Amino acid sequence: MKKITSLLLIISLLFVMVGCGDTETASKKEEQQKIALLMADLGNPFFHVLKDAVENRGKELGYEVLVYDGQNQASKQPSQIEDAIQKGVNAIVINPADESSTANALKEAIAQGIPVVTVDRSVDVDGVLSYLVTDNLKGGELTGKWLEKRLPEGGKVIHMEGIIGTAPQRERGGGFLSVIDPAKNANSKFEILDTAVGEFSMAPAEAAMSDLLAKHDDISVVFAQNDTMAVGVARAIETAGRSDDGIIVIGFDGAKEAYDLIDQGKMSVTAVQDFEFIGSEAVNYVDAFLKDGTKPEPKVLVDVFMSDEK
Amino acid sequence: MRKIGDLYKKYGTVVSLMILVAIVTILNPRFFTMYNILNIFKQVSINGLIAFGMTFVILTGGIDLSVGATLGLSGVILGWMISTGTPDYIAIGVTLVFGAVLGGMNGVLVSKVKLQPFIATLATMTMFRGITMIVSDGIPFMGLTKNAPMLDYFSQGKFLTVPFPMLVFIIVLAILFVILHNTVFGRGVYAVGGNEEAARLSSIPITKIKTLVYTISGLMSALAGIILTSRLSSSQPTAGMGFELDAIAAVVIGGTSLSGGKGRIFGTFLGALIIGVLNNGLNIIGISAFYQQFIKGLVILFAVILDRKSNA
Repeated sequence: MKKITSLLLIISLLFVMVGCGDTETASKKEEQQKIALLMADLGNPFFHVLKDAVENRGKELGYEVLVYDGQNQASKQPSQIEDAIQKGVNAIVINPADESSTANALKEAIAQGIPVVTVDRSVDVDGVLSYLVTDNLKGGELTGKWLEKRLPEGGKVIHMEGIIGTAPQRERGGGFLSVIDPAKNANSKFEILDTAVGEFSMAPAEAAMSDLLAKHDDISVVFAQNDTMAVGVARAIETAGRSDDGIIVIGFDGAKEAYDLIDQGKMSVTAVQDFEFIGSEAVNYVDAFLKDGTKPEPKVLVDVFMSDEK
Repeated sequence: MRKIGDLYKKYGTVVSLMILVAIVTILNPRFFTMYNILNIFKQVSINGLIAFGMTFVILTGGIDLSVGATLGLSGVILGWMISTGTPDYIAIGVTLVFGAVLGGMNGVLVSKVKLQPFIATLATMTMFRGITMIVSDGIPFMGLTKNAPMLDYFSQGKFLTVPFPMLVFIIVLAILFVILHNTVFGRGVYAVGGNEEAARLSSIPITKIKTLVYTISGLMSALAGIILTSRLSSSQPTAGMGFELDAIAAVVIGGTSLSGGKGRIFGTFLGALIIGVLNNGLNIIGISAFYQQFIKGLVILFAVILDRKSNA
């Protein structure tokens, strides 16, 4: 019995290996240049916009794009970079899971002359070709100003924060509060009722919002630092039977779900990160560098726009 | 001293819960409104159901780390079926069976292949997460309750004034209570966890019992997955991350010993309520998130220390 099991195991392992071999040979097409795209977490639907932008622009310019998913674990990305170097990629576009884990692996790539562009988050290593990121601080401010315009008389605000300590949490929140929080802007007519943590995901944001709906009768605005949380907040308002309170729900990112809810009137607006621009621009930088050594700016800040403005 | 210990063992968790409720109510009376209490029960039902299954597993001296992943996978399977047009009552039924099968796999790995429960369920947890990503391609299924009245009932439904998830929670508690305390199988669960060798000698079907407890755990996780999916009207591929820890915490706070053989399912019910009241109460009082985690950890530690004292 034991022997049969181990035999079966070995056979299945062989199959797996043969399968891998197949894809290797298939990918060795005639001299086509390759870009490795390393995504931190494809579990977040919003990042598919970025992935698609890189793939499409890469295809247009004649590159093969190899996509890696870090599954939101910083420890996965270094070996994925090594794998990409092994496969002989000509450039790396990476959306790092954090600022340090991939530093050594990227150093190796840079030493081999492979251009590296980081998107959405920087990596603490010298020699990166460029770093493209949404201007989250400005985005937060823009959101605050949108709200000022929408409610000139002010109102009572719930602030739903993402994962504490991350750059988007600090910058989006900081930018927003610099306009809305009376403690930071003496001219603000708003009041921050409560701050909750939704960890950038839906279930915790929905649960926290349910609690706050039980606590307050007079919420006029919820600012969620990403759309996934905003969708959870909108759902909590709906299931609590408080849709008639006219609570303004603001998100951040420009995810498809947010646009759907805005169409249904369950959300008001979202601050859109221009990931299509960021993704295709990253490929443009790589392409220009590979063709004639043109170097882009080392850091490029990309503006957001409010979903009702474009 | 002995008497105080005995008293605590019997009523300690209830008293802790009452003290907690009193403190939060004093700090903000809005906590103790019917609206908020129903809100708490709706939230607790998810962790509570998982913790019920976990109680069976822990009573046999095992552990099930895959409950959160089972919840996530069941939710995504449910979402996939509904969004491809399967009638919701069929999809819900299939999801429950599916969760039981996943749990049964754990059970076979532990009872027949004789793997350590920690290792076996750690491996299946990782596998289930992987399958979740493959099935969903990392993208959540949205708007699921729109054309699925039965699924919608799992979050919005009310029986008299009782929200449906709360009703499910209480009914399941009653059923599992009877199974655990009034059946041969239930006595077997305690016997296996108390002294496996003695159980073997008195010809208790250990393999069958172990397989069944993990099956129950899988079934409970799938049920919790259905409620969460209904609540969010969407199935998130990352749903249930870390839920195993909250479930284990509820079991331990409820006085069930991690070494098996000792504990009660009603204790788990109270443990889950304590965690739920803490989560909700800290939000209602308006305590910053930095302190929330610290306080939660402190309460768990406190409960376990008290439990050890009363067992000594």
